[in-house]
Amino acid sequence: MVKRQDLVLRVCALGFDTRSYMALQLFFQGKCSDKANLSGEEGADLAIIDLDSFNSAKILAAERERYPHRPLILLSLEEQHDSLPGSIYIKKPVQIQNMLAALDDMRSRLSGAKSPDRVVPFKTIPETSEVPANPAVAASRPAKVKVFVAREETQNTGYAASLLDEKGFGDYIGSLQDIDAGNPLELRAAQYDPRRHFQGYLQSACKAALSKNCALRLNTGWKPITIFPQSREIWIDADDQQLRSFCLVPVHSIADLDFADGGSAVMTVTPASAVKAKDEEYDPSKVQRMDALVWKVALWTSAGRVPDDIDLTRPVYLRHWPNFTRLLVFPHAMRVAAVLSEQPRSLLEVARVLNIRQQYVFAFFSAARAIGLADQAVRQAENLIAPPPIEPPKNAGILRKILHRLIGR
Amino acid sequence: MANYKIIFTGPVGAGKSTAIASLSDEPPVSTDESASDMTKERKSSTTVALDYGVLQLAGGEKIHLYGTPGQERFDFMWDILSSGGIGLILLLDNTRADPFQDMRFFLDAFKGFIEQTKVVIGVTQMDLSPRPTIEDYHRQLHGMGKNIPAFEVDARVRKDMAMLLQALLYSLDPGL
Repeated sequence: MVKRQDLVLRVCALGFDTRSYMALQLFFQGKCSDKANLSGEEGADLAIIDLDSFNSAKILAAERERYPHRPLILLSLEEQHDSLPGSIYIKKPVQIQNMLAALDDMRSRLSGAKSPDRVVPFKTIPETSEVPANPAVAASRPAKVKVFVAREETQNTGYAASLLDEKGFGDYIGSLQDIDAGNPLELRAAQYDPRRHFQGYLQSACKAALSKNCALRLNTGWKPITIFPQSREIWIDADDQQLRSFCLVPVHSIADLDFADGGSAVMTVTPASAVKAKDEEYDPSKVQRMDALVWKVALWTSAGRVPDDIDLTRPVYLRHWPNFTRLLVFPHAMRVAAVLSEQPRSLLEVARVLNIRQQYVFAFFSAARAIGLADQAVRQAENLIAPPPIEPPKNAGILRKILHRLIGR
Repeated sequence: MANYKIIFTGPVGAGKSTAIASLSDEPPVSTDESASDMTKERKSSTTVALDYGVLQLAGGEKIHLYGTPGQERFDFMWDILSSGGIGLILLLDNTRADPFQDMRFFLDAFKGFIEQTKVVIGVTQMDLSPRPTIEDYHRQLHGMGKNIPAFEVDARVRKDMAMLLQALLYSLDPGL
């Protein structure tokens, strides 16, 4: 069972422009991937608010109204003297050490543990004294606002970006610790709703394009996406890094960030020109295979989680192996495919028999389901008899040597 | 020391020789002859004996890569070649008139071997002929009551062939 203080914090980021959000995303995926993850507003343990955004006052007021007890990390260029109970203020430019320290502080508070002494490279502004209007209320308030002022240090975000690439697929999944399916809190942490993200809209749009057999444009409010059903290709003018950041933003948050087309709060689908070969608008280098893109989007969005309508204790099935040579392959994906293609099993059991972290199984299932290859088993027979254990063949030793030779170990 | 081998099979022009060359640690041995009869239109030369390559493993062990001749009149060799093999890699050429018929033929020809081991399917030339799709192959396999890994591959690309071989290994033992 995972202790609360070991849980990865879910952090929602409010009031950020796209570029700043992506920078924040890089930070969470790199330096503090084992401490906190960016998530949607609902269910987040704490919120980070950019006080310099144009509608920050409105965002802050709405946040305090909806989630009065949720702690805040507030970012601003200006020094803040007005204290907000339960908040930590970080002066911009935000330094990694200060954000890490603030997150550690928040984790300690949320777990109820004593905040550890630490040396951090920032200057602490003496806390201002407060004159509370109601002494009784003041007595019950938590500790005063801590203020971090960063030293002038250079940050090599380019290095962070290359680390993201070089570290391999682990960064795509993020870090989700194994859960106890009997614990509702942990179960919730391992689930997500694809319909509340770009993934859901992309899947629906692809389905519509294929059923109507006509090219469609998905208007995301960010970049348009054109779907060509006959060639099963998708055109999108975005690189993987941009697309991945977009995948993690809940759809309603996209509306809040106010770059939706024409003020629309949802994504829309419109007919598109199918003559892509002759249309100068479509740069061929930006075309991707439909299955490969949907697979990637699902992997990024899932972040090692599973759609919230899936029962982790009931068997799931895999129709057939994914076309791995044309998809983004990640650790243990083939092993999971091998197990599930033999017989339906629950996702928890697959992780157990393969002795791998659940997040790999969950990510595989989320991606496979997104491209129509997997789903929850519904036949009663699949729940009745436990699947047999996996027995290694007699020549397992030589097979392992061949595998190591192929993957360069 | 035990001899281990992996068998590559499939119709003429599917890319067996190329696939072995992509994987082999040594220059592959190939016995080509000028093509005769119906194969001539597909290739100017064809393998009439066999292709041979080798994967060097740590500890000095070798995995022998054998490619069966693609011509049916040499099918008596297939049994000999496949004896003692670890598994089968079936390559299918998507530009042929009826790749599904090819698939059924070879899966039936190696039925006994497949029952003892495993098979994976690599579909080549999909850049030239995108249909049938991989999903179409799976539909055919489902109709035959089979669930076999099938990937789109370029036989010239080592990464594709290595991935296909990995799928074979994991099919044999997911616990690897």
